[in-house]
Amino acid sequence: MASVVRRGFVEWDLATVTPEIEKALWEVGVRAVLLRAEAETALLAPFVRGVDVNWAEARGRDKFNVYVYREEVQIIRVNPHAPLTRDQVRAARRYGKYVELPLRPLLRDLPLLARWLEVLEPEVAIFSTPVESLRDVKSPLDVAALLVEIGRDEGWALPIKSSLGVLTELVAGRDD
Amino acid sequence: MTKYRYLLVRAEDPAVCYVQLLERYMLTGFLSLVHAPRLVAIYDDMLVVGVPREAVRAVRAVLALLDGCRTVKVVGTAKRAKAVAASIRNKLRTWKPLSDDGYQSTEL
Repeated sequence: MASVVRRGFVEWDLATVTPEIEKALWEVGVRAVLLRAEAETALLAPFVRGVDVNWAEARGRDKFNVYVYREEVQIIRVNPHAPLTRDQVRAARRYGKYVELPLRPLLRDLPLLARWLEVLEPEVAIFSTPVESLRDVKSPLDVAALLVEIGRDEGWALPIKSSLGVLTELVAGRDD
Repeated sequence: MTKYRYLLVRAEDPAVCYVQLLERYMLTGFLSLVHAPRLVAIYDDMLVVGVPREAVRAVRAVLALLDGCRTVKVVGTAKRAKAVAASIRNKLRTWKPLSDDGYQSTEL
């Protein structure tokens, strides 16, 4: 499809691609997805981790410090159970890295989500859902409402609303 | 008069989704004591529920916490909400035409 996407959201972690999931994501306004591996999509614009966007997974805090200084890394996926410190997030911002926080485990542990929102900054945060089945599909605007309510700051809608812009920037910035 | 907004929610089980939403409706604050949510319709997998405009964000936040429920659209009137929901529902049952050998209703 050679259509230009003007509005919409990004699902940062689509694990399984089926026509039903694609349809559901499209319905809630998702227009582009980041896939774990090459897969064929019919509706959504596909981007692949490691191919279109460079990323690294930091399971612990120490690993995070390593990846922050690596030039080629664009997105650092963090372990939702080990919140970073404010300084680490500031470092990520200084070096132009995005911090990807998988949301699904945090929806059952809202105090932990609140702790994350205290240290994270909306400008460098990316919220991925991990979508493995149809049940995992969330409306990005529902999630944005939740982030705003928990974080008590209107700014938390920004990472969701500007997600397409961020993705474009990441994909375009890879070649230099 | 308080303005209501109507959320179109697609859910695996709309009835369960509505019950879970009611359980947490208090989270919208004192508003919840004054203005009750309005259940407009359940069509197959669609739930149509009206909430005061000021409570929309809180209700959407609650929906984000529920598994298998997602807001698909928000509209301004109950009539329009019903019309849209009816047009985008996924039919769960398909009625087969009666077979030739009689007019007894067939089991589902």
